[in-house]
Amino acid sequence: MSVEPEVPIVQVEEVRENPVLYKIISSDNHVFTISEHAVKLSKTLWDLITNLGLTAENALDNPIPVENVNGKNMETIVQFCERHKYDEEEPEYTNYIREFVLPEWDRQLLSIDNEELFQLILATNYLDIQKLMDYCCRVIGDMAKDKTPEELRIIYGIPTDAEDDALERSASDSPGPSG
Amino acid sequence: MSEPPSLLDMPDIPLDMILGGLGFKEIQVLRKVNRNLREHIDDTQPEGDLTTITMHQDDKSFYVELQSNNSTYTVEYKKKDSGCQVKHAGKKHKVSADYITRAFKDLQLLLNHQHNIRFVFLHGIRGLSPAKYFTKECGIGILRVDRRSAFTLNLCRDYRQIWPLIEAVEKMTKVDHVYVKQDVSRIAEFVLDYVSDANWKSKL
Repeated sequence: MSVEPEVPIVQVEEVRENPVLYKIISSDNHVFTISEHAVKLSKTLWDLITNLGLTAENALDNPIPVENVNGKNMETIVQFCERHKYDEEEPEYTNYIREFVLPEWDRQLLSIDNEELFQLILATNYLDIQKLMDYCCRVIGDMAKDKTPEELRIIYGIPTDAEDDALERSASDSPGPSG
Repeated sequence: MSEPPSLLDMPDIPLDMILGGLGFKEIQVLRKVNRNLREHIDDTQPEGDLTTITMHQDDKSFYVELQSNNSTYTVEYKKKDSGCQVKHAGKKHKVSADYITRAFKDLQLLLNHQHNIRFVFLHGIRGLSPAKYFTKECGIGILRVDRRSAFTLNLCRDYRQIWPLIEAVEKMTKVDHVYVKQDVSRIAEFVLDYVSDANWKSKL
């Protein structure tokens, strides 16, 4: 006769309604609250939380400062992570799935100007959020479709070879720390 | 006032993710934008979405048809005086190189960014040895073709060209199948024997 182990049964919905919350402070001192499932999407933040030994009991009393991300980007990131926190884990991200279509919710979230998008990518890279990085890079990549080299130069803010050369010359002409 | 953001200021990981999501056409356009970007693309060789390359030739021109999942592009290399005229998407420009040499040079550049090409078709290539061009001009690219890939070499004339072609493709040890269609039936039979995977043959 088998004996059922005495393990408390926790309903998934119950967990969703009582999440562990963490506090994050952006570089411009905005405070954000994020659930445990959502913050796990950021490898950097989750490593930090683990290393600091934050628990359900002390998490809210120990806000995590993130010096490299401003409030605007952090707001987008928290929204994204909360939206995708229960997504099934992808086996492995690959850029070669070209048939992928960005979900409408994410497309709207990432409908921001280039400068903001570039800054968001830098923040996402720092926080190591694979899925958001993948989505942002797809949005940037989609801008290249059917464009000429000159159009891409403007869209992507790429200098001409002559401008690059001029920059290098001015850098080599300027005095160094001892000059 | 801060500088506007530039793709070139991206850290390597996001930059490579962006480039990795582009099609072969966009990658080729980006290569023309800036020297530093071109060097980065050539160093990292982001994967393009090209699936099939078809080449064919008539008296004065060499045609390269490039097919991706969504689109087909044709580039014509036409003999013109001492050089050639390259025509693509209604635009023409002249270059000083021989038209076939130029076509294979462009092909080599493309193959550097195409690791997933399934088929290369050669139609009616005559008066030259494609094997010579593949081994010398495109060797790097073709060696990158992985084990799932296949080459169909469709030679309408001069079946003797098949032998150096097979020899050349055999050297590309990562290629599983070589399939040559030829009007001369006994040659075709030989080559069909050469192909070991019956299921693969049936897909052609």
